[in-house]
Formats: sequence, structure tokens, C-alpha cells
Amino acid sequence: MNREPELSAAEQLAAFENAQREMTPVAKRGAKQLGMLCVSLGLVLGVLHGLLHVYHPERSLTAFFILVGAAILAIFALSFGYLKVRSVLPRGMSKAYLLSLFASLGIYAVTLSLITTPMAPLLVVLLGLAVALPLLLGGVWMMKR
Amino acid sequence: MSEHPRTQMNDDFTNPVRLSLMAALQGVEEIDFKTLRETLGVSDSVLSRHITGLEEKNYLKVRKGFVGKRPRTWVKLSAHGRSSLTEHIQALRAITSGL
Repeated sequence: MNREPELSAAEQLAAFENAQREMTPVAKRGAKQLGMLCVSLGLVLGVLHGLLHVYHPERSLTAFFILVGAAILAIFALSFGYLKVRSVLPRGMSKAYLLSLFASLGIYAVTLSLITTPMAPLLVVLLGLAVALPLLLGGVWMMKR
Repeated sequence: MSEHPRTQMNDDFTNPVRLSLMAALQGVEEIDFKTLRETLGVSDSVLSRHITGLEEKNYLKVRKGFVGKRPRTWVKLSAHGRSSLTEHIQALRAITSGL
């Protein structure tokens, strides 16, 4: 099994550090891919939240269901697209992703009760941004790592 | 009397390909076979052989799946593999610190 030559301690350490260095750009690429997924999901959830204020169930139930369905489809398409291109998941990234996702979904769920409340367009935009913010921040952090 | 650091070295990691493979996996949660092969610059058969050897000793976990219709193999360090590698690297550092 071990046909390759055995290495001295110093050579092993050098080989170890060299392999880690070679992995850096690969891990960065993986972080960027997941970061892009986070940013895309954040934008989808944020925009959806804003649109639900305009097309809430009391105004048009059909439009409401179409919007929710489109958002679910978009989330599935993005996630599937990510899984297709994902080649590496850097250490600690899945935790950061889940933290950002659940924070955004939490804010989304909390502010969902406000969609039938009349409010100024600026406030609607701010609520949409609040929903998207955890995923956007998570995504940007990943892409800058 | 404390043990010499060489006694902490793990013979399973002294092979250059295995050591590079373990080092590459240390910084990731999971990586696919193709990317790992390209990063390490080894052939399919060499990488497969070492992955199988390390998996048999529970240093690695291998997951096989499909993305669309294409089969993909994912590799990651097990908790045992991670701690064993850390011990091995600490031993190497202790040995080389006196050089």
C-alpha cells in the first residue's frame, strides 16, 4: 500500500503545510459558492416579504399563493444549483449558513404577521431588508474569507 | 520520564500522499473526489487506494451520492481522523522544534 517513500519528520511537516496551502484557493472557492447561495436566498426571501405586503391574502389569495409558490421554487432551484456546483465545503461554513438561514427565516416568520398591516413603502423595504440581512451578511462574510 | 514525541507519531500518516490527503481534509467539512484528486495531483487509483485504506481505519468517512444523474463521491475526516492527525502534527512539531 505504501509504495511512496517514507518522509522524515521535517519533510512530513513541510508536506503537511504545503498541502494546506494548496487547499486555500479551493476552500476559498467553496466559501464563495456558499456565500453566493446565501446572498441569493436572502434576496429571494427579502423581496418575497416585500411583495407579500403588497399582495397579502386579504387582497388576493391567488397572488399570495403564487408568490409563496414562486419563492419555494426559487429556493429549491438555488439549493439544487448550489449542490450541483459545490465541490468543497470549507470548515465551519455549514454552521454559518444554517445560522444565517434560520435568523432570516426567524425574522421572516416574526414579521409575517405584519403583512396585512398598512405601512409606508419605505418601512416595507426596511422589513424586507431586515429579513434578508442575516443571509446577506453571512454570504458576504463567506465570500470575503 | 516523559515519552519522546516520536512515540506520538502515527505510522498511518507517514506516507506523503496520505499525509497530504489528511492535510487537505483538515480545513474542510467535505470535499468531492474529483477536486481532491486535482488538488493533490494524484491519479484516481492512487487516491482511491489511500482513501480506502484510511477509511478502513476509521480516519475518513466516504459518502456516495448523485447530483442529477452523475455519481459523486464525498470525503471528510472522521472525529477520530481529526484528533489522530492533530496528535501526529503536534508530535512532528515537537520533534522538529529542536532542529
